[in-house]
Amino acid sequence: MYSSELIKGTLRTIVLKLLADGNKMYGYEITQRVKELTGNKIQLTEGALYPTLHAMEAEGVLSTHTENVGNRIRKYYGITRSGKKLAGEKLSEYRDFINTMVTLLDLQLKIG
Amino acid sequence: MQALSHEQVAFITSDLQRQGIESEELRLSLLDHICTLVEEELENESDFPVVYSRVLPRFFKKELKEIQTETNLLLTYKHYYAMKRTMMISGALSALTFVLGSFFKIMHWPGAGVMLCLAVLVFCFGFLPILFVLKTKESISSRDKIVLFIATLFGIIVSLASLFKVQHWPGANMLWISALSILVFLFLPIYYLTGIRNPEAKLNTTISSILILVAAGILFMMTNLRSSAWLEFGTDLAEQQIYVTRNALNASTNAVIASVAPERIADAKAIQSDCDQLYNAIEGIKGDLVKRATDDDPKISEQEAIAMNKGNFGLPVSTLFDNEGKESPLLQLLNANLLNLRKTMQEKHGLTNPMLLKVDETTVYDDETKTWNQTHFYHLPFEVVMKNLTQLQIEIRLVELTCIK
Repeated sequence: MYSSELIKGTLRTIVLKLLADGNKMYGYEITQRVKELTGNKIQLTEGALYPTLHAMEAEGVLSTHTENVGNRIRKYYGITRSGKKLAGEKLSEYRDFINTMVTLLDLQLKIG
Repeated sequence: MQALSHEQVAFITSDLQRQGIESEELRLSLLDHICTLVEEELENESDFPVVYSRVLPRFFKKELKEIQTETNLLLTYKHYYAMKRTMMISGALSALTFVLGSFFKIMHWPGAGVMLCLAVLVFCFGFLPILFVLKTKESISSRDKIVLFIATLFGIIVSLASLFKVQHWPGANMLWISALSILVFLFLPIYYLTGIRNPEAKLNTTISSILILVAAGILFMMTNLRSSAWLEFGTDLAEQQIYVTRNALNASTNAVIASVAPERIADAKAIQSDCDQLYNAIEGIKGDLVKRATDDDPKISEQEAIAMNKGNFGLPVSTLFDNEGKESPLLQLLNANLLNLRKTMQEKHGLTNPMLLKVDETTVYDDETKTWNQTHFYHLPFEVVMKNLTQLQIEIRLVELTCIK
């Protein structure tokens, strides 16, 4: 598990990347997918995830549709066109950031 | 997997609402998530309340309401973090330019005015409003909002008043007095009367109120700060004496003209008419200044107007110069006439005294070269400008006397 400060700044990037391929996902699914992909190393906190999802929806980066599941409603998030553009920007920004941090902190990246 | 019953879903929904999740959208999202988690856990554990109370704390640090607050913040303040950053930058910028500007001002270096203006404007219209908006979002009580609003208003006006005062712009005193009035008659009563109702804050409110009142008293005292009475008496006397001198000169010029030899009388009359014309033009400018200073009240004499307008820097500047500090047409005409008079007197009437009417002379003060106009009329208080105009009348009489003789 990483500290929540580390994750907080990348939350939007993670969400955008997960949805970038056109997948529709609901909140719980997003947390599970991240857990799975990172071998349990990153567990998104719900307290941070939902406010961010709602804000991104309001900003027009994400679109939603709802489905009835049993006796409750499930909200699926998908990416919009401006969201796709933002995803590209966020990812290249992050790539750049990582490279800078590697240099700054003198990290030895293990390759392979 | 066991699906939750209607009752259980309804229970969770109302519990979320009870714990401060006000927006339905957010409640529905959380509900689905919680239900999924609970259903998963119910595979191993059959007691719903136990499972629910174990799942819920995953959603917050202290209380569930955090999610709602954070969502509101992100929704209303998409630019919250940008605003915070702007506030910090504008605050640092205005503090820095303020310190630098004051230092430049003390050292009489150029650029002080620009820096102080920038500092105060950024502080008043950048830092303070953003601070107010961000602070009101944090505190919910309307009392705090009102108190914050008035405090911000006071901060803006008092900063502007200080800037106006330092730059000698008109309206400084009015701003200053309004700022103090807001503090004493608006802020203080509201702050005290609302604060004292809260038993916990009673002592602190009282102490703060007393401190604010004392501070306001000190600021008010400074509004009326003047030089000592003796110094004032001395300058008053000097000002009056210049009028005595001028009037005496008027009388002796008349006497001299009366005693001129008949063959020179035409010459003397020409000199007198030229000089009188200019003397009266200056009297006219003084009259304009007095009129503006007294709002055209004929009952107030020139001397009274001067006494009432001591330290008024704005009026002469706005009468004799335009917004960019260039001479007004009135002053330009005066300059031209003075130069003309000097030329005529030198060429036709043998004026040789180089001390008189040095209109084109510049002076250097604080490494700054100033024109004759700036030296005598620009950014000077009302009484000094009036004195300098009277001095000019004296010079004209001296020119007259010298040439007639």
